[in-house]
Amino acid sequence: MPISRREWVLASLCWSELLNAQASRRAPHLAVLSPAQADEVRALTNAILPETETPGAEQARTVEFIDAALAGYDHDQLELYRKGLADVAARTRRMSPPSARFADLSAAQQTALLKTIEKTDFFDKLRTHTALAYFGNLEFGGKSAGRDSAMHFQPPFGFYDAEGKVE
Amino acid sequence: MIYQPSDPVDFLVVGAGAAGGVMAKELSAAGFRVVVLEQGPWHKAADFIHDEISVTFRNGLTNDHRVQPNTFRATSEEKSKVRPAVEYGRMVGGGSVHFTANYWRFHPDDFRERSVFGPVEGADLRDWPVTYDELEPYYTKAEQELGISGQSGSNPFDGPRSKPYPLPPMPVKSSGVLFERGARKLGLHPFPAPVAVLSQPYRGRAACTHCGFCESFGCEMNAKSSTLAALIPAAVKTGRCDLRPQSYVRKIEVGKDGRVTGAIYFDQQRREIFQRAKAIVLCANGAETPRLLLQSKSNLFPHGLANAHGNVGKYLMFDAGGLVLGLCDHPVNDYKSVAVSRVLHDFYAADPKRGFYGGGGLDARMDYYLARFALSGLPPGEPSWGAEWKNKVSQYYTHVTGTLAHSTCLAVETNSISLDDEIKDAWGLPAIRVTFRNHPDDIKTMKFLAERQKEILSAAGVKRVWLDSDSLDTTYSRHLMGTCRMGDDPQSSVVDRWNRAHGVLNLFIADGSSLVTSARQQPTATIQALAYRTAEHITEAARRGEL
Repeated sequence: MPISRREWVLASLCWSELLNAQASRRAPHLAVLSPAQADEVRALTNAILPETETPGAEQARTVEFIDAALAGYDHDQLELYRKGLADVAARTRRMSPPSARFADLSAAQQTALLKTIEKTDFFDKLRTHTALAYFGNLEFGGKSAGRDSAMHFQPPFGFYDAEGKVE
Repeated sequence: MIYQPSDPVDFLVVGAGAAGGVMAKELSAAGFRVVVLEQGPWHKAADFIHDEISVTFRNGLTNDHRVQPNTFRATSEEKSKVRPAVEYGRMVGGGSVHFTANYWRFHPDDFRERSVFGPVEGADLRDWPVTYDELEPYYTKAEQELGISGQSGSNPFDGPRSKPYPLPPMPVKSSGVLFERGARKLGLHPFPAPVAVLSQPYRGRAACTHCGFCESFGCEMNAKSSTLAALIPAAVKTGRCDLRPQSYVRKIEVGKDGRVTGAIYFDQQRREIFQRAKAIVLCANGAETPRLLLQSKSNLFPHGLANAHGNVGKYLMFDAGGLVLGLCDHPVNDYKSVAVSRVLHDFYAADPKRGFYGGGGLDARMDYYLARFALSGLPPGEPSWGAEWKNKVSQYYTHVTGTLAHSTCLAVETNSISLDDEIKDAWGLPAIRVTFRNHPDDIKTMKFLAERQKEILSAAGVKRVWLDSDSLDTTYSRHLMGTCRMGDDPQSSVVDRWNRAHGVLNLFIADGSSLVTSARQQPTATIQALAYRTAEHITEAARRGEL
């Protein structure tokens, strides 16, 4: 059950700090992506996991997560990103000449374009990275899913526990 | 380092996992001088964190396929390809650190399936040379030494036991309540899960606080009964257990008399060290143990150590069993506490009337952390990206319950671990090559059980129930069994009934590789019971001067 935006802000100082950082438009520190590539990755991941009643990919700093992954653990995926972004640029140009920026497309155009690449390895990696950046972070995905962020719990854990042993 | 490499210690143990940890403790406590060589690091409990990304997506606690690649092929006619196929806990404590902690005993019939059910075409189903009754005291010892929580007598299909579990069962979860509700409506016999997690304080370790990060993770509370938490400290305290992490064995050496003399390993700086020993116990798991034997070629053993009859690496058995999920009206919150609180063994025994061979145990669990759930946990037909994807993941995660099957993997001679001809790991050693294709009955068993799993959730009143299709992929496994199988006949087995290698007097193999059948998975209790039995036998043999 989605919770309200107001509840979000109240619930998470950490998140509000991130929002502030984002609002101040500080340029993210990038290790391997160019600023132009980062802008495209931001637009792509926002389309994959948009802000709704709860924050989206951008608030979870997905671009920085992906850049760090491509500079480190997933460095062997950098080429896949480069080729994938070039392919997106070519498709964008065909869809909306002369623009080659996915970020400049309308929401409907973005969705239409993503549907043409959703079976590709690049999209699969992009989606995986977006899920990790957001749902792998209990501050974002965990809250979005209503997951209690406490480190320890006591029973009852769920609604049905009280039923106990059923004869 | 307590002992010098040139000093022949009484025992060299390779691998400090579920079995190696038992060996380390038992042999050092019996007064022997022991060196334990472990590939992976030696973590402290405080090192274990709740980070799904680094632990489950980036091999934080397991073998890293980027530096230790596997190759895979379904049959020997195929060209093998580089891809992950085997996974194991690569650290002191091994799989006992990061396993889910299900701790079932095998059933008495698991040790005599061939006699009870007859042969199975296309498989090599055999009786074990050990019976349940012979192993029972060692199951009990393992449960007492490690600290197992459960309710004795609650599983009507269990074999007899000489002592109750040392700890009461963990509290039931909503997934367990629903599973029990559905199962009882169908006349089945669910019971509280036996788990290697402390429901109460035990031997100086604190009770579980239900953080929910058991499966795939290490326990920062020491409440999971790993060998790291429960046995290694006592082994070290003897002053006779020289445990060396980051020590990767590449070869077992033999003398002119055919006895093993020690092992060559790479230390953390990749220096080669030869540690001498009077006897060696391999506890390196069902993939690394046969690999090491095959790498240990010599004039006396040109096809690898203990491989005179070509059996090393054969009869590889993998994990098997489908996951069925269901969406509930109210929060289940299966992310809290131990993964499993209820189990059911009604479909465990094979039944010839089904028209195929096999059976399984079922347990109640959702089996997903959040990021993995977002990627592959939604029911079929739901969106996989966009606002609706995010909303569905967010709405469903706390409301999904499930049941996972643990089913037969038949022993097939052509399924194996071997050395890859071309691919090497980062140390220059041949990669593990997996050749594996399920016996057709394994697949039929999984599908049969999936229908039973759906029936149970439906009987519990869960309206939307689905089979997680990814869960039927059986070409990647964390259960590594059967590659140095136990038997009385050296022509058809690698170790004898005491886990001693046929033809190599002072070499023992005690890990998942000696399992003759896969039973119904969840092999840790049996691996550890065998390790206790082997340790006792070795101790007596050494004291009699027979090694």
